[in-house]
Parts: sequence; C-alpha cells; structure tokens
Amino acid sequence: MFPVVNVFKCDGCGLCVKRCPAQIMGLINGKAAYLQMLCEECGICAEVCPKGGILWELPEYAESTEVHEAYAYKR
Amino acid sequence: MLPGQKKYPHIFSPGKLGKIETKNRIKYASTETNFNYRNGYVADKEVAYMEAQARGGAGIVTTQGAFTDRSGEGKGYVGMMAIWDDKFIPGLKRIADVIRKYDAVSVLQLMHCGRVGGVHLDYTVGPSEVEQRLPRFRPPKAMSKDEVEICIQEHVDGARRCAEAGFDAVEISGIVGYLLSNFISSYTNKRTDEFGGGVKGRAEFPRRIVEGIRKEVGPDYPIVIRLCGEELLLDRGGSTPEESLEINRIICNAGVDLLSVTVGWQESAESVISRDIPQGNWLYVARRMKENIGIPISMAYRLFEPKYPEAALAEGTIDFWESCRAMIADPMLPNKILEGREEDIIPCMACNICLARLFRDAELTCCVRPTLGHESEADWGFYGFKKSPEKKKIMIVGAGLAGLQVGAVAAEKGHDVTIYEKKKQIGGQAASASKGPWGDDEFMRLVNYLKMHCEKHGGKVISGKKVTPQLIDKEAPDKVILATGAQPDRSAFPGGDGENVVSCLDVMDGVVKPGKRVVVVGDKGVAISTALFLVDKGDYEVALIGPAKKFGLDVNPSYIWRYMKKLKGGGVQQYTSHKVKELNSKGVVALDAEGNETTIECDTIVLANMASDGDLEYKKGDVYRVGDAVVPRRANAAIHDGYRLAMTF
Repeated sequence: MFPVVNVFKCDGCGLCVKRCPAQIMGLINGKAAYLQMLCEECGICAEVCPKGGILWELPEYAESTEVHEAYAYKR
Repeated sequence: MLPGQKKYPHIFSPGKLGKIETKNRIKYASTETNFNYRNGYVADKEVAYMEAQARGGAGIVTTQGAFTDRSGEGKGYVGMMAIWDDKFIPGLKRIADVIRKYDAVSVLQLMHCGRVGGVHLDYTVGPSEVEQRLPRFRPPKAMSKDEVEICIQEHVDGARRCAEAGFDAVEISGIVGYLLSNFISSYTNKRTDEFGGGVKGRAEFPRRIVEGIRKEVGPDYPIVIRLCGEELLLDRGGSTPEESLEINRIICNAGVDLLSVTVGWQESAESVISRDIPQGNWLYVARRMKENIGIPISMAYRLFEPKYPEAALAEGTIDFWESCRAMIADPMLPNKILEGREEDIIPCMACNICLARLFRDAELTCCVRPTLGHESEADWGFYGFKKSPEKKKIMIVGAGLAGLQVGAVAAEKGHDVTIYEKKKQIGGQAASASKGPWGDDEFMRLVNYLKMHCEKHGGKVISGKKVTPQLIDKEAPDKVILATGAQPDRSAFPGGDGENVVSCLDVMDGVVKPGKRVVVVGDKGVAISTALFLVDKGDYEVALIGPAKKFGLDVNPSYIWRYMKKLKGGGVQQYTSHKVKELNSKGVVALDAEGNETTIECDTIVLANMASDGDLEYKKGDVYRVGDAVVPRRANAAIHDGYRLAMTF
C-alpha cells in the first residue's frame, strides 16, 4: 500500500520530508511528493502528518446485501 | 526416504492434533498481515499468502487471528479479518480450502486484542483500567460482568463459524497483551469478582471460553490455545512463572488439545524475540509446561534453524515446532528442509520489520523476502521466475546486499551475471555489520544465501577486484548495475581527512583500531551500531554526536529501545542536536541547538555519516543504480531495490 498525498490538505510543513526514513520525500510546488519506487510503504509519513494530509487506509470491501442461503441464519 | 527425514527424523514424523494426524511436526504459527479489507473481509492477497504457507509443506497451517466482536474492540490491526458474523464465513472458507488443498491441517485463530485492540476506537477494553506503558495504545476501560459474558459467547460463536468455514481446528490467542492474557496477568487484572483475584479467578475467563467452545464444537474437534509461559512483567506486578503454570494448567484441563507456549508481552522490558536472544533460549519454558501439564506443547520463539527444534522434539520438550517469522521469510522452509536444500532457505534476520509495519497500520513486509504479499503475481516470481527470452550480459559493481540481490534474481532469470567486489570479503556493509555484537553475525547467513542463489543459477561473484570504467568498456555488458553502496562522507566537515578520522566500516572490519577515547559522528542506525560495537569491545570511552534531536530514527522501533538501553549501559555520551563544525587533532568541534560551541576531545573520530559512494561514475549505455548508491538506507531497502530492479530484466 503506497501513501497518497492529499494535495488539498497538505500545507507543505515538511514534517514528512524530515521524518521519512528512506529520505525520499520532498516538496513540489509546496506540496509533499515522493519517489514511489523507493517507498518502503512504512506509513511513517502518514503517522507524523499533523494535517491528516496523507491517505493511508486499507480499502473496504463492498458488502453485498444478498446473503447466500447456505449462510443465512435466523437472528 | 528424503534427506530431511533422515537428518531430522523427529520433525518429519507424523504428529497428532487431537485425533487428526499431521504429516509432520511443523506448524505455521499465526501472524497478522494487514492484507485484508478494512471491514474484516478476507482479501485475495491473504488467500495467496496462506496458499504459499500451505504449499510450503507445514503439517499445520494457522490463519491470522480473527476478531470476534462487532464493535471492533477486539480488532488490533487495521487489516485484521473478522469472524463476528456469518457473512464472513465464505471468505474464511477460501482460506480453509486452500490450506486443505495442500494436505495441511487448517487451524483458524480467534483473537480479541484486549488492551492492544480497538484500533479504530479511542479506547480499548480489559479486565481493569490499568494505564498503558506503550504510548501507541489507547486507555483501557474495564469490562462489566455482562460484557465479559457476551465476550465469552462471541468466542464460542466464532468457533462455530470456524468449524462451519471448514477449518480442522480452532485456536484461541491469549498472548503478548491480548484480552485473555490481560485477564490472566496480575498486572492488568485487578478485578474482585469471579474473573479476578487468585490464579483460579484469573484463569476463569479463558477457562470459560475453552469450556464453551468445547461444548459447541463437540469432543473431537481440536482446540489449540496460545498462552504465555512467562510474562516477564514482574517489574509491573505481573504473574510469576509458577502462577502462569498453574493458570495454564487450569485452562488446558478444560479441554485443550495443544498448548502453544509463548514468552513475554509487548510491554515486557526484556528482549524476547530479537537477535540478541540465542536460538532455543526459551525452550526451558516449554519444558516446564510439558512436564507439568501433560498435553502436547508447541513453541515458536527463536527457533529458526531446524537443529534446535529437532533436538527439542527428540527429548520430548515440544511436540510441534511452530514457526512464524522464519516462515514469513520463507514459506517453503518445510519442503526445503525435507528435500535437503537447507542452503536454499531465505534466512530470517529477526529484524522485526514485519512487526514494525503492523504497528504502523502498514501491510506486512519482509526485509529478506520482497515477494511477501505478491505471492499470486507471477512477475514477482515467488514460485520461481520464467527464463527471460533474451539472455543479457549483466555486470554488477559491488557485492553488497543490493548487488547480490540483483545478481541472484537476474541469474535465476537466465542472464549472464557477473558481480565484482573490490574487497576480498563480499557482503558490503552487511559483512561489516555482522562483526557487531549480540547475534549480528546472523547477517552473514543472508549474504551467503544470496551468493549461493546467484551461483546456483550460473552467476559469478568475483571478489578483490576493483571495477574501473575501462574494465566496463572491455567487458562490454548489456547492462551495468552500480551497487557501490555508501561510505562515510569525509568531505562533510572541515578536517574530515585528518589522520585521527577513520571510517566506521574500517573500525567494524578491524582494519583500524581506534584510540581509547572515541567520538562517533552520525545520528542514524549505522552510528549506533558502531558505538555498540565499541561498547561491546569494552576498552573505549565512546561519545555519539549528530544533528538529530533523536538518534536512530531509521532504526526499527522494536530494536531502538534495546540499543538505547545498551548505549546507556555502556556509558556512551550522547550529544543530540549537535551540528559538527570542524574535526581537528584535538577532537570534534560542534555547535549545540543554541549555537554554543563545544569541543569534545578524543583520540579517534569515527565517521558514520553515510553517503552514496560516488567513486565510480559510468554513464554509457544501460546503467542502473541500486541500494545505498541511490540513497543510503537500511538493509531492507537494498534488498527490495535489487529485487524490484532485477525482476524487470
């Protein structure tokens, strides 16, 4: 899972740039950006971001409303 | 008879889990992966990972823990799978099916994470409100008696779903700080009702769960439980080893078929599973359980090489060899041992990057196996690479981890690979680091594995030969890989070329012997390792200086606290937030955070400020740079760089 910089939230404070252990983050036009091929997917940038400006979330499975009859139980 | 059966007759003898026969005595122990969906459904990635574990040849394969409650109080990891509703059964069934397909016994683990749970909530639950020691975890709320009863029922329902999904057995996790262990430990259980108090009271919650599950699943369905043999929490008022034994006995007597013994909590202030603990160290705990409880026992902690569990199985200390990190690093470990190909095993370095990732809500990662999480993707080559249609001549400069990894994969893909190393010793910084104390010699297992893998597929490793642009021109390769690694940067400070200034790599390699008073310049992991190396030697006064506010930000959290403890114990002076201004014959001149100038006097200055080695420049043709030659980082980056590059060749 690679982090995604939410450019509309990022205010360019640069904390992620400082804390990235792989030293692969920087600022482009005042927004955080990184070299994806060197990204270790560690999540530290998202953890340290004070603005919640880095998306770091697993996807959700879209639940089907139908339940196969084999698994339908009385509740 | 296969070579492994001859060499390790006990590991490859059939075992019994309840009434079910297992093909051998290897059990893949449970681990979270964060591969699943955020809402608890099983993802394809997880199924592929479990398939790899089952194909690897273990007799028993255990799934990751599944949380049992709807509110997510039991959920300790963002990608943890759920079992609180029947709607999860189809996904879980995919795992059960894939394990059975490869003739392994499938076990599903139920896990309520207790005081380390509630990953999406602002609180956790536990028997009592006992403050957290680790800042990551949220404050616990005490469960009411009704809530405890509901929780027991949720475990029982989970076990029913486990059986319905087609698993052969159910496992309950009660280790390292999860809910069952919270009830068991006198550190976290301060209750005065029937679920607290003496050993009988503290055993009551897990005992009721086992009793309830037994009633639900019938007498023949095996129940496995993971419990702490020793909590290592005496400094916090945790249970004594005698109490742990007595509690485990009470729980097991309620109808458990296999007890998996573990040691320590996440909150324990002692090393348990890191490299500084010798392999087989904790077997005495298993022995105590075996002698006193009288049911089959399994153990996972620090048993990486088969000779240790083989001996323990032979003397009857354990009945199953559990393996977790060693099989994350190489799921094919059982089959490789069986076929007498132990040198082919990708060796786990106990670096614990897997744990570090889980605690940052990231997916499981392995330092030594970049294919983790990509088992189903053919281009990652977990089950082997197809030969490349065009054979290329590949010249690799530098036989460090990155260079060796490029070579290993490129050779496997059928290319003509030659790796050049200027030193006599291959391994680069890993070889230097292997001279460090407390188990760091294990790094050479990795270096040797990569070299062997490369040579097995026809790659050549030439050591003691420095590569020049002329040599590259002469060899005329199709691709040039510069994996020249990193060196301390002498040009960073005035006076860096002084006689009293030496490289940390030379110190570790034993090429130079520093004077008595040493200052190590650098704030990253390499500097810390160098300081620890000197501390271990015993006759040095060591200081560490660097600009960072905190040293070792690049070091794995599960190692850094140990390192810091050892630095303190070794009397290492730490100058954080100090900018080095100049190096001279007296020592290091530095400016502190307020700009005040200080001189730290010493006999030798050891530079550990790593920078990419720019010694060799070559720009003609198809040239690539990997590993520390791109940006100086940790070992896992070098290996992953090398792998990701070579898989495209």
